[in-house]
Amino acid sequence: MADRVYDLIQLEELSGGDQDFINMMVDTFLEHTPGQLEELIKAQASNDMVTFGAISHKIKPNIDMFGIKKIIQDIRDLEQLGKAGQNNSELQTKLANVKAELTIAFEQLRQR
Amino acid sequence: MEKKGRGEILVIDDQPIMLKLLEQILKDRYDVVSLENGREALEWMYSGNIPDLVVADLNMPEIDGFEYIQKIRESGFFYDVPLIVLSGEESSTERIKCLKLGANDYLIKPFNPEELRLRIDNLIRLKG
Repeated sequence: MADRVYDLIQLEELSGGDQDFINMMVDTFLEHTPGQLEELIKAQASNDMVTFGAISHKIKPNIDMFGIKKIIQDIRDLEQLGKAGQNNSELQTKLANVKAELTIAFEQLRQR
Repeated sequence: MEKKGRGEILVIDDQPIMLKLLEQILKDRYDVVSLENGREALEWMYSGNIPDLVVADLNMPEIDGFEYIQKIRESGFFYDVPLIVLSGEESSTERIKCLKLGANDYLIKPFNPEELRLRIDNLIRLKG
């Protein structure tokens, strides 16, 4: 199995290890974030960069909260590129990184 | 609405995961009311509820954080309710805009839960 791409240490620390709370947060993350990722991809494909920036902004704290370290900077860059209306190769590369890493995180969190 | 004797915090964020996180962080010290946008928050407040403090996001549908701050600061009922903005917006431009509108404080996500609790405690103590 691939190395774990997420880290729940922040949630464990602030809840004092309350597994019910951690499970609820994981469920909420899995309920909402895959749909937000799809919206992000659609916004880029349709060159709707206002929406792209806004959705990047919404996903950003979730990536922080779940310790998906590899894309913590990428999602920030996507937010800024989106707000600047720069639907360019840099944005597309970073979006591909975010999509790949989040897809792995979703699968690993579903199986935890 | 009857209060239980503890302070009551209104948290406003359109991200369910953030509302649950804030409830977890604050529930030991405060009663927490969670709403998903500025319109819901204004309706709740104009229904006769005055929280001891508000924690509000900025980017929300319907009525966003900026408009929400402006409306409660213009109100005769809520102009002095302490308000902390909790946002992923990192630019000083946004922070200054909020402070000019009447926000008392501004924290950037991701935030330190203890820092948020202390800022809430301090603002409530000052108002008390």
